[in-house]
Amino acid sequence: MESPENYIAPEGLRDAVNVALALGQPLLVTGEPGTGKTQLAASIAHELKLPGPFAFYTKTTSLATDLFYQYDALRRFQDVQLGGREKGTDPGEYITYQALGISILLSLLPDEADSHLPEELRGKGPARSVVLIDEIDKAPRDLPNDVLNEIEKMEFTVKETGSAFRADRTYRPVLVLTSNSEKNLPDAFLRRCVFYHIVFPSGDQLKQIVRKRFSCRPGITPEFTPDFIDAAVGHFEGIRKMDLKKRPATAEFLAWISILKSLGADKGSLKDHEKALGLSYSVLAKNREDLELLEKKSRVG
Amino acid sequence: MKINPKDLPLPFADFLGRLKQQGFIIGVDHYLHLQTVLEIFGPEYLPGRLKYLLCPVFATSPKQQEQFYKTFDLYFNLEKPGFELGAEQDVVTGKQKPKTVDEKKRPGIKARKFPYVLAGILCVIAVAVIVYCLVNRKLPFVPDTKPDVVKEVTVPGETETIEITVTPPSDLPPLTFFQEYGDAIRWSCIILPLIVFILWEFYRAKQRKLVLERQRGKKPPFV
Repeated sequence: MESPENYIAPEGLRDAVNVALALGQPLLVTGEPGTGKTQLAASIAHELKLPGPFAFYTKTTSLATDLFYQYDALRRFQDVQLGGREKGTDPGEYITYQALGISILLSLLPDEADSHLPEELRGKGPARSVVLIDEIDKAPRDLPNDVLNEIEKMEFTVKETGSAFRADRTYRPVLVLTSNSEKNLPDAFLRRCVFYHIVFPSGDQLKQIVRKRFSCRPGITPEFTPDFIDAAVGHFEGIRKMDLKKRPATAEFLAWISILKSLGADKGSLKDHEKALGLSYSVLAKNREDLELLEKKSRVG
Repeated sequence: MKINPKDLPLPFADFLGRLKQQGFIIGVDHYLHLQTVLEIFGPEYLPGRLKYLLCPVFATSPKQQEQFYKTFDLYFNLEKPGFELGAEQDVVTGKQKPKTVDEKKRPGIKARKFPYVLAGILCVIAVAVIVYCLVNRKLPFVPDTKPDVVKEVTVPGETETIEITVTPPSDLPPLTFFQEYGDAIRWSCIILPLIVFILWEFYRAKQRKLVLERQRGKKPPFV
């Protein structure tokens, strides 16, 4: 993940974060891939100087309880079978707390929570922290429906041990959810979230992102000239207007101009570097048809 | 007279009603969240930026977000040029919403813009007409200063000529106020109500702009 201090949040996104903090609600962020949804959580943790983000990367097989903890039933069974009566008696030994569970535990007093927290976090509570649940739309539809109460009250129960934990109001976790909008989320879930859609950055915003992102990486790329940045952004905006199956986003753009620099295409006009442009398009295109279209564009000019 | 907080209108009630018409689902919790957000951030935010603060509370999709921004700009007269009224889309189906009976009766944003121009034109016309009427108004009768006219009448059968003195009428009643200024009054009665109506439209448009400033300092309707 890129350094969070280089993250540039649009005005509307900053306001959405402030509203989520004020209301104590999760922030649901959508947008094209590569627009900085995932990095937002790191940026929030950096700006507010909070632990985290504790990340949970949703899978198509994720369950609601996976957000809070995982229970290794198989290992316990193995220990009981092989270790006899001494092992496997305490189910708590087979519980591993996950992102949201850790964050809720961290909000509690050390006496209550330290025995459940990883070693590196013991003694650091009570503290507010940032949690990232990435691409929640990937999960089965049951998952958002199953965590409505838990997200609203920031509490969960470990079925295997019967322990219940509820976050301290003062140290309520900051929850950031991202979605690629592949599936519609349930209305009841959306009602409990603060929503923001990150629109693709404008030309000026892209230039700002490039300057900020590459200013602290002199070893990889010395500073780009303003003319090169203008030309690259203009060319990229032209590519985005093309009839591509999958339009490249910010992440691809940043990788692309790094490639252009390494191919020596940052000197003079971009039009003079047809060959380099053609080679660089493999970073932007996500399929064969798009790549052919882009190569055709570079030949036509 | 002490105002009961329960009688105070909810902030942005009319605007939220407009959102509901466009397919936004707005429940009690939305009102509570709106109140909280306005209390915490309202005083610091300019009207144009308030939409970025409020939209996350109500929108649940990119379409709703865009629709919210447009509706907010229109409603609080912050619209950007080029936006066409009547292109409102239902945020659920994405289809263009037909105007309701109320919306058809209600004057659109374009109607609220041209009053400024129309008022100016009508004022100029009113002044021109009134001046014309005043200049060309009926003047009171001014008796002739000529001396009495002497007519010679010949009686049949008689050879004498009789002189009859005809005195021009000098005691006709003067014209009344309405007779003298009637035309000017009639034109005023037609044009002045139009000007008053347009000024009323100005006032309503200004009231909408001021509602944000009013909401900022407002205390919650409940303790």
